[in-house]
Amino acid sequence: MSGWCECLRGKRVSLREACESISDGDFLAIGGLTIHRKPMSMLHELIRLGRRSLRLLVFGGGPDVDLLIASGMVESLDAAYVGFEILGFAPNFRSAVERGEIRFTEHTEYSIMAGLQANLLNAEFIPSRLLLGTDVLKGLGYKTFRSPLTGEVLVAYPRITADVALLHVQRCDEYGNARVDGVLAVDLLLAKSSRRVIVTAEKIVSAGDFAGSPAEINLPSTFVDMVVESPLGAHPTSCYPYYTYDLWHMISYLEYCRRGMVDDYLRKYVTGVESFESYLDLVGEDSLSRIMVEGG
Amino acid sequence: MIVCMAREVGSKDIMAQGLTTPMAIIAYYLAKATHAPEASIMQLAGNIMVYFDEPPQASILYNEYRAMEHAVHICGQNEVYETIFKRAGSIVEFFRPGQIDKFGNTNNSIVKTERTVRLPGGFGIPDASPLYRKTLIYCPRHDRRVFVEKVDHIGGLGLNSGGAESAGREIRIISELGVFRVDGGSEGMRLMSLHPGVDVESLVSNTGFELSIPENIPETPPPTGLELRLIREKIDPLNIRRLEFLSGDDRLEALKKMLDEELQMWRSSRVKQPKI
Repeated sequence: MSGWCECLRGKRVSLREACESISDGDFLAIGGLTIHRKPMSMLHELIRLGRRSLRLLVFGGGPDVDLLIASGMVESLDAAYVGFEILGFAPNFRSAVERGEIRFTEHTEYSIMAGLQANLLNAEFIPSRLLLGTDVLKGLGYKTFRSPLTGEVLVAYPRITADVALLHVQRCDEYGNARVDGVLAVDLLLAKSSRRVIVTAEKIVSAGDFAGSPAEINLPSTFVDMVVESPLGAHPTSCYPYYTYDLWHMISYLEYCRRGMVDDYLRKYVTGVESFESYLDLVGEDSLSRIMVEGG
Repeated sequence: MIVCMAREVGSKDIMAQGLTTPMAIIAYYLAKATHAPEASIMQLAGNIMVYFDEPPQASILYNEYRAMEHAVHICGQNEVYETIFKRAGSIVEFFRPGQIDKFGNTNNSIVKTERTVRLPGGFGIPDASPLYRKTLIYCPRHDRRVFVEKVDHIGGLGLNSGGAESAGREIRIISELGVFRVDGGSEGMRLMSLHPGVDVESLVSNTGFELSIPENIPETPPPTGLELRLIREKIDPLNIRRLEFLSGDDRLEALKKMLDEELQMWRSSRVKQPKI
């Protein structure tokens, strides 16, 4: 039917197809926040595909960043925080940065947000006084200049544009209209600023389900390129309201790392299985029932 | 400590929680349940604004659920900062630093010992510290590794620059030993009150720089019976706050026990159906 806009075309693909569209060396933005709503099923698939030299942009990283670094796929990382929150340090992130094995740029919430928002405003950079005088700004290496309006010294926060953004959401229709719930962090900014956006969803719903309830959608399909159905796709991070954090699994992962055995973890849970479903089988029903929340 | 933190909240303030910081959220719930019932709370990196009549129970496993059950608004980080920029004068946000120095500079980036230790990162601390009229810091562990002469990497700006940024700013620090402030004077951090049971010698030996200590040292007013009951029975019966004082294996063991207890409690209580 003539007149349908491009956003309303079916974008559903398999996890494999979605991940195959990501190339070595891509500048990848990973959504979520630390131990919330990370696109783990996509990351597992990327590890299995053996992607290399990835440059990561992560607002708040945790098990996602740590796993990718452990698998040797990361060339550089831009992030404002990387840790396991109440569980403490991200061990592979920490040792890789301490040993100079990856190029790490420490950001703050504002430096990443401003960099993303510059895209939304079609601006080359965002001028601001924030971070002047800190060593964090020195680490960023951003240029300062005198405002043409007031003469005061300002920082030029450059536009940051990822090649691909990976987001895990609660519900999405086949066109990419999505409901992102719970802690949002900068996911909507990532979707609007990155060149391509791949969304994994707990549930793919029919396009008609959202029609008439526009307040439900906070990520319109105009910003989404590929949609994948991936139940439990954030495990071991949480996906409100379906399941909470599998802190037990994270503790186990950290134990592997403590013993210098992260390669064993990777072999067992990622490269040694052929799908995320098999990984979930390995995690086991008992473990999963611990984190599932009624009503989800 | 929590009671001191709660006391910092004014009646019409907005209390914001960054990442993790369970003691901060417990303090906010306490403040709202006692002297600041009209204060608002923005939890989980400020993304979820909650409203409640009764203080919820602090949680590790279900903190997002508790927050969402009481949510009146959710937003992304950009909107959190819109609130910060507009309401900086009335926001209470507690930061926990890896290091803090004599002039209140904080560090959550790198610590230089025999080798460089990479910390998780300051997230929003460097952004927001100088914006608040009163920058609030809490340090459950008060020792020479935290309270250093000069931080190894400046994240949150202290008050030694003396520039326009410092004018009118105060940094208030609450630790397990006492309450302190930095307010642009050349003497740096000053002791405001010592907690009951803490002696000055212990404070001095655990601080890596010279603290300015008054002749007559005030004692921090202790928690009231009501505050203690609220914390221990209603807000944090699982004792999540204790985790912030532990590290390494002790913390892990305490955490594992807490998770099992929380899971039991959740399963045996009536769960409100989350709205989907």
